[in-house]
Amino acid sequence: MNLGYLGLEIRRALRAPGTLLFTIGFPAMFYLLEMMLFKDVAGAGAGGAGTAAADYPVTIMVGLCAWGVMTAGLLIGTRVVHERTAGWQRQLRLTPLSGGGFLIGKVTVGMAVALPTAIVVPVVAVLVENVQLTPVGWLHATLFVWLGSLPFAIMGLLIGQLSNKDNVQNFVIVGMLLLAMFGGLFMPLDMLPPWWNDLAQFVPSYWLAEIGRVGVLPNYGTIVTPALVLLGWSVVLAAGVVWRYQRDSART
Amino acid sequence: MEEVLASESTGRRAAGRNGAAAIHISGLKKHYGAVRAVDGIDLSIAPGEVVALLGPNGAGKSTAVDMILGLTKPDEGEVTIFGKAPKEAVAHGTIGAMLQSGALLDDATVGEMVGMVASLHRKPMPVKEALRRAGIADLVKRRSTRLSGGQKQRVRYAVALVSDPDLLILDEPTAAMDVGTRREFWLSMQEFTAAGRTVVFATHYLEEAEEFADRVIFMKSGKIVADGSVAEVQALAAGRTLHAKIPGATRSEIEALPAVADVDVRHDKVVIVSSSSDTTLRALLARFPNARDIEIAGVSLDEAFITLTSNINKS
Ligand SMILES: Nc1ncnc2c1ncn2[C@@H]1O[C@H](COP(=O)(O)OP(=O)(O)OP(=O)(O)O)[C@@H](O)[C@H]1O
Ligand SMILES: [Mg+2]
Repeated sequence: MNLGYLGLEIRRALRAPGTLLFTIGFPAMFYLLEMMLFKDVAGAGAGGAGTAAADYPVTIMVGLCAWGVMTAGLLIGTRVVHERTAGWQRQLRLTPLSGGGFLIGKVTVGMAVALPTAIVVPVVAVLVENVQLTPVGWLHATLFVWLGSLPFAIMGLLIGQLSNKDNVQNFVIVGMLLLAMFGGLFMPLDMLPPWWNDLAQFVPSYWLAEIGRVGVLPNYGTIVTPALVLLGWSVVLAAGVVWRYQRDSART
Repeated sequence: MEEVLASESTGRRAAGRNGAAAIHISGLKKHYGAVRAVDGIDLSIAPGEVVALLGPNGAGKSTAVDMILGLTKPDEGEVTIFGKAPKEAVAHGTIGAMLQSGALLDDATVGEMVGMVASLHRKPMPVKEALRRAGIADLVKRRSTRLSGGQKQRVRYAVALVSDPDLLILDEPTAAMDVGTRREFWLSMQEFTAAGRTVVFATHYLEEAEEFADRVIFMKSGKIVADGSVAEVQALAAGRTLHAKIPGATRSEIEALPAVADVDVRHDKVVIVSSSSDTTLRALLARFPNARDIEIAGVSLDEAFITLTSNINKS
């Protein structure tokens, strides 16, 4: 594999309808919408200083960044299903591309496509809400959240390998919504019941947003725990992908 | 079967460059439930051979091809490509393949697809060269959704070719091509084989096998039922069947007649496949003056295969 291959793959991904809409359009739009509708409610509500709810514009910025990069990853699923249905994957298996190479290639492309999200949403937040952060805070909210999309790119790939043309759209959309809801990407978790918080720990998207939150909210933990949890998810999902690539040669 | 038709060419050329056969298959089996898709194949293809794989729908050609390429794991038996396991051969870019179905991306152009495959190989030929050989240099920028059936086939050929492989495996490469395109395709193929490379192609067009292969393998119900040089098959194809009633004739007596390719004896009914019916008939009348009800009919390549098939099943 080389840069030429990755370049061509990225071009294909950007060409796919929906890619730019989900990775740039929707996150930016939702941010504006949420600020318009809920900022005052959230500010007046629960929490008080130092809570996520109090820092609504920042929390939602991180949440929607996370949502965008996650969705970019999950969308790999749709493309992979198309490739499989077209028989292209069987053709790829006739090249020296290994299971690991296949994984790295697809994930790199997924993450490259996710990169604009991690830039556009913060830019909108700064322009519209005048969000101000320390340099470390910005690093968390942009670069680290983007890097945190790794397990979701792998998850998207696995969805693509396990689903078919008829159900892949459902898997991607439902998965994306569930992960967003339970991970607290659309809404600060401390505005929700405590049991929701407990449940959220089991969804990887919670930890993705947490990567951003630890950098931008006061009195939060360190990046170590969320990073390790996401890495754990990545390893398990990656093992699934490689295993599947090696076996998935059936004519479809 | 091998005695009658297993070509001497197989044995003669099987010792290739490094002594390893281009393809060596032993005891290969693949069953899908009750379907014996491939049911015990032994085969050796020498480097430089151009081999046609024929057989009716469901004969097991594509299944065999999948196992040769390492895409499907055999239930039993072994495949080696130039002495290596298929996976290893694939990793070295030794094999190029055109699969029976699909293999084109809707959202990419011809140039991008061939380029992607090329970039995955270690020593590819230039993309332009592959496109030129496949006769689609003018289609580089075309999306695959806007290609005709025959053009798609040629793109898939370019994809197979671009790794500059030693062995090409083509599963029904000319399906969907018109006569002119097929001709061009085979001309391009000859450019490829002229360099001493090996080609195995599955086809339903007997003329293609006749014209371009130097060996023909006929599969039926997962088994190889005939395997011979094209000359041998052509002898059968160009030959005729001779029906006669000859009381008291034995099989060996009739086989001893000149130009006889195949014999079937039932009681006094004799069916002879002859590559030269005149010669056989003269000798037959001289040897068996009591022969009667003599009929002579031509056989097509099709019929030759059918004769072959039924004959082999009995013996
Ligand atoms: N994945 C599968 N599951 C079940 N049966 C299969 C599978 N693949 C092939 N078969 C069966 O195996 C047999 C051989 O199929 P194969 O595709 O190898 O035939 P073929 O000679 O290539 O035919 P054609 O000329 O139509 O391409 C057929 O009966 C087919 O239905
Ligand atoms: Mg087939």
